[in-house]
Amino acid sequence: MIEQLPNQDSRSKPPVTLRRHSVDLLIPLGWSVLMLVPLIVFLFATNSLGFVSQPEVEAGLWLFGGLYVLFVVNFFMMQWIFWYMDVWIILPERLIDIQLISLFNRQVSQMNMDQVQDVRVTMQGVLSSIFRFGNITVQSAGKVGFFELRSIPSARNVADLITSYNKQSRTVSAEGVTTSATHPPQRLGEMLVNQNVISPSDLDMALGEQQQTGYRLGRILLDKKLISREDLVRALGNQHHVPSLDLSRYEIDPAVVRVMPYEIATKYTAIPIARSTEAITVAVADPSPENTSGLTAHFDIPLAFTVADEDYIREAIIGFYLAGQDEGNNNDPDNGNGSSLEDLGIE
Amino acid sequence: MTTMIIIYAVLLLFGAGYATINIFHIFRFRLPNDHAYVAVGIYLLVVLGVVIGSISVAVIAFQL
Repeated sequence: MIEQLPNQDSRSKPPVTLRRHSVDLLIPLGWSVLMLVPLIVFLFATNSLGFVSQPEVEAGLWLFGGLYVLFVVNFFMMQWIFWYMDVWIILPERLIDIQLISLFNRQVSQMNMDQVQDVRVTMQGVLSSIFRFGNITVQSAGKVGFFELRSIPSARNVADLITSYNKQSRTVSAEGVTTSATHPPQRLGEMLVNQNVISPSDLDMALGEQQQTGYRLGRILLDKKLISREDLVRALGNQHHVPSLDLSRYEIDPAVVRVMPYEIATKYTAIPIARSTEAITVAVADPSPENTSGLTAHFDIPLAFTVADEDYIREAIIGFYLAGQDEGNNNDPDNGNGSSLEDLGIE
Repeated sequence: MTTMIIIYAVLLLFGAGYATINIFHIFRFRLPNDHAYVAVGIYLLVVLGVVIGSISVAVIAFQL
């Protein structure tokens, strides 16, 4: 168990360190034993057939036999290191994924618990069923995409723990939003200038164009390539205290999309992306309170919002509503009046 | 015999290099307060046992 991680809140619960189940070491162990078989057969054959008559030959056999065993031991140790260095650490506020990709190549990724959208457990195979381990896929709303925790012992319990931490983090975030709601949000242009994403002169120019055209500031800055899509999404998320999402890397649940009628999706540039027991997560291009409250008014169930790039949302709307319509009118956008909530088991 | 010892020494160096890389990874990437030192200890014991054991048996076989 780890005593204290860097940047860890000392008041938070101790971290849970996970490694793959030790059954995963059986395969490299099997290979190592198999590699020793030819050596044993060779030594046995040379001895029993009487080939070892000269002391130099016998000494050579022992020396090179020892070397062979040394390489087999090294091979197994390397496999053990790959097993040992793949670590997942679960903290109440984040999930850390440490992977040894190859020798001298290590990758450490982090995912905030409040960005976890979906946790899936899969248990496949005889060994997995006998020894009760499985793979856990944690889908994130962040840029990291998803984490795959492989061969985790007591996978269902671990998945439950991640889900409970996610719930806690979302509650804390919601409290933060409530607190911040009493303060007026900072202007988008000022935020981008303060973050040195654009210069004050760029902002003046964009504001001038906004007055002439009436377009939104973010769109103007994006069209002039003064900011990237990621910059805009991140800034909007920070401005309204809403998590941001890279929709291009996110796998939208097709079943949940039907919850929102096509007209509402296009009107608010929004698309449902995931569901939990508490709420439906909706990706919106404009996370302002006016927009989100207007959207919430159309639903009887709680909505959780995440901000995503407007173009990606439009592409997703076309892909899920209009493409489905072309295939046989089964997903008629006019028909999506929210009645499919029952199909989804949402009360 | 001399040629054999030279080849053996070169291969032994490769093996030692391989072991060094393994141990480097454990020391460099270990997490705080984990038990990787135990594994390194056992590993070194096995490696040294194999090398010293095989050399000893080879020397005895050569002298007999």
